[in-house]
Amino acid sequence: MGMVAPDAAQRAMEAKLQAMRPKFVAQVTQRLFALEDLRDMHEADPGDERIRAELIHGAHKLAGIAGMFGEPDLGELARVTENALGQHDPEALDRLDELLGEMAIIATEE
Amino acid sequence: MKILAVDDDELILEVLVEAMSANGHEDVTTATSAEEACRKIAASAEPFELFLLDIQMPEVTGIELCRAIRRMPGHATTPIIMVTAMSERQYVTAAFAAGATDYVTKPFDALELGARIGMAERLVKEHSRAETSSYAMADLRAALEDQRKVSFAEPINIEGVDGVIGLVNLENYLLQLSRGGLFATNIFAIKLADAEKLYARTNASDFRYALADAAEAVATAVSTRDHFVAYAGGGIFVAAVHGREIESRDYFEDLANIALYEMDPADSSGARLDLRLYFGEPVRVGMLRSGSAAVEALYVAIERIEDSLRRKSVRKPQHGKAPWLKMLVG
Repeated sequence: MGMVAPDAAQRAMEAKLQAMRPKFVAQVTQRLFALEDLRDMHEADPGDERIRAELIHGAHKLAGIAGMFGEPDLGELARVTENALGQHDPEALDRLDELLGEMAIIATEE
Repeated sequence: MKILAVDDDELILEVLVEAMSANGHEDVTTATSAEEACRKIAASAEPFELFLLDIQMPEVTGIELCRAIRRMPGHATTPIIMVTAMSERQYVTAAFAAGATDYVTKPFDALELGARIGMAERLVKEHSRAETSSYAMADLRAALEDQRKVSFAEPINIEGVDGVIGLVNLENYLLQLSRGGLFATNIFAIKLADAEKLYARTNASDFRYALADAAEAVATAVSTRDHFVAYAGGGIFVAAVHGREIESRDYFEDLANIALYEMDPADSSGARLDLRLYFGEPVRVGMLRSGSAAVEALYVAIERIEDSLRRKSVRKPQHGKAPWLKMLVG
């Protein structure tokens, strides 16, 4: 397999990610709806560990991908939320609400 | 290079495929679960040459999948790169213990991933070259023996011993920990006494078994701490042992030699092998050491024990029994 020059590879990757941006926005939107439902269920029954695990999983996946689409702050907020939920931090719901707010901004992107 | 990428997020898989393509790798198969990955591995006519695995997946995690792949025929040494958002030390350690070759955290940079895949590709080529040259020989028995016969200085991968990994894997593990600032690690170099003489008078298979026994003894000695041990070649092992205030070199050395004594190692003719291990002073790797400096600590530790043994012409007991042996037999 031929080697690709670093600059060319970087440029090619940036162009690919730009082209994939609508898919990222669609995924954030879909995940936003799912997390909002889970958030309400979690507030109603904070002891339900299955719901907590699903929230953690959703935040974790977002933490992994957001930075690649030029959204490092969203990724960091997702990571903070994931940790807060995992550690049963009393402020976890506040972090989650902040995260949902940031996701909503991206979801409404044209 | 034939690559299998596994992640339960299809968008991440798309990004991985594009990142591979940007780096010149077009033969990429994807799977969204460990189960699907296993099916594709089993059904593939040509074996995969590289695996990219996410950790956090429902049902079966990437770490469990990594362990399963290692048990599959032909994949004992195939490079496995974990590509994951899990950056905590416990996950890094679990991944390397399961057989991972390298570890990349998300969000990943396509160029960095390309560089790490380039390293994996070189490993694949070296492995392939060794196999090709051995198959070209007329006598299969001689070929198999030759394949096992490596130079004394070569770092051999010792398989099947808990906590013992390849030298390249250990280097990647230290790099990953240093990237995450997760250090409180001590690097020991451990010399197998008279290893060169042992190499000269035993066959390749007996030498490998002796190294495996010695590696197991080292791993046993440091087993109360998070650790990894690798064979660096030249009769020298290196051990990365975590903890801010760990036990002394002498303590670990005694435990390792007791473990070796109890194993009662012998060669294929049944003759007892009198193996003895010497621990060097540890090199402490703190948060200030990062990146390649963490890996250099391995080689500082090796130089340190070689210098120490040269100066002291080996701390061998000239008379009577070694302290650890006295503890055992009085």
